[in-house]
Amino acid sequence: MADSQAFLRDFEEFGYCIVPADDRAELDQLRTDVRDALYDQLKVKTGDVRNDLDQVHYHCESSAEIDRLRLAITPMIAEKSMANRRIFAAFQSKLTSLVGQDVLAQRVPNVVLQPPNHPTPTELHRDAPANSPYEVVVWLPLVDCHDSKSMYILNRESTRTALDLHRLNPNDVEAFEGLLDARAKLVDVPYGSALLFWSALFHGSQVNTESETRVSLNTRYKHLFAPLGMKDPFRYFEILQTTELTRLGLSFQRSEDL
Amino acid sequence: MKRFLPVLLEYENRVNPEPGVPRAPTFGEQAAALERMAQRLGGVLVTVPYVARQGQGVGNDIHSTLESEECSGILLFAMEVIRRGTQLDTKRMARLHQDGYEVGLLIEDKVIRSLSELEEMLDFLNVINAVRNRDASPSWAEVVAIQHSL
Repeated sequence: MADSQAFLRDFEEFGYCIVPADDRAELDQLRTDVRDALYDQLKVKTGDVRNDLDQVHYHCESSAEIDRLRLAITPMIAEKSMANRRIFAAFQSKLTSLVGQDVLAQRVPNVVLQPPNHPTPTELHRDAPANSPYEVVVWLPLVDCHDSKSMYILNRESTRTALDLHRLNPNDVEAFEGLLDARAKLVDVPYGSALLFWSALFHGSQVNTESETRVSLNTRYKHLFAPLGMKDPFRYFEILQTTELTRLGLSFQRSEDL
Repeated sequence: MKRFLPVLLEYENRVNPEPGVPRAPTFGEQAAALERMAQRLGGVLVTVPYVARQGQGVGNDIHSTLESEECSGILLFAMEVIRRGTQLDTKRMARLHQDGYEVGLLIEDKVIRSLSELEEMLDFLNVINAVRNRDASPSWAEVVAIQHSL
């Protein structure tokens, strides 16, 4: 109880939290599925799952091959592995305390492969606006992530400061980059944990200068009846779970259509 | 062979129709994509497409068109095709299924063939309608403003 309250307090204050999985078995299955899908595409024999993911760059060197791999396994992970259900199950207590029991989930979680020195990290951005500011983002590394192998994030206060600076001096790139250097925090997230963050926070990644590949998933959840944002809800979201009461309400409405 | 009526979407904004999408697909691109979908479903498109203006939905004439063209199904470019104002036309969707047509949605990658698939779709449509209806309501905005000021 105290742990849960501390999580909610931190999440509201900073806009993010790193949390351990409630159900590690769900994560382990998902990680194995991702490894199997990758190595099946690469036609390479599998070994220890952690090493296989950390060392995936030994089997695919070009950016084009990495993109091809990512695109090939993304639908498999979404459909066969039911990634959004597994991720929700793995972090259910924390996610439910944020979004409630009636849940919309991103239909297809994103798969990210960031090999050492790969020249295209994720630029600084924030999901909302465009996405709903009532969404939580789950960033789930399938390997131990630290330093430049990880991602960076600006907490609520730093995001607000960055926005203020940009509004006052929209062309001052140097000042903005200075603020990023000072405030952006590379998060250490070991496998078995996830970074949960509010969709309105600035975040991104750098070139991975470590010796191992980052393999991570990211996906989004929100309350079924939360404001939508600007993206097509049918393309990006699906109903993950509903309460008994909501099912009664939906059944009532449906009966008026049929 | 199945015959599908393609329903194209005339976008309100051809540039940046939604975040991250630089331009709206042309009618030619929409028709080509729907042609591929029809082939995947084991059919062909009828020659003349039905065009829906974004935000205005499809009219009652869609049912007579389907009948006169002897269609077995209808392929919508996107769910946006059935939006009228803020609301998605759930009754239209239900009627298309009840009249026996296979209903495909290209962008959303869905095909509705069974009652359970229709019900699942209607639930989501009703949720979206409820959210949009509430968020467009001035009285709701007032309630939210009061709650935030407490």
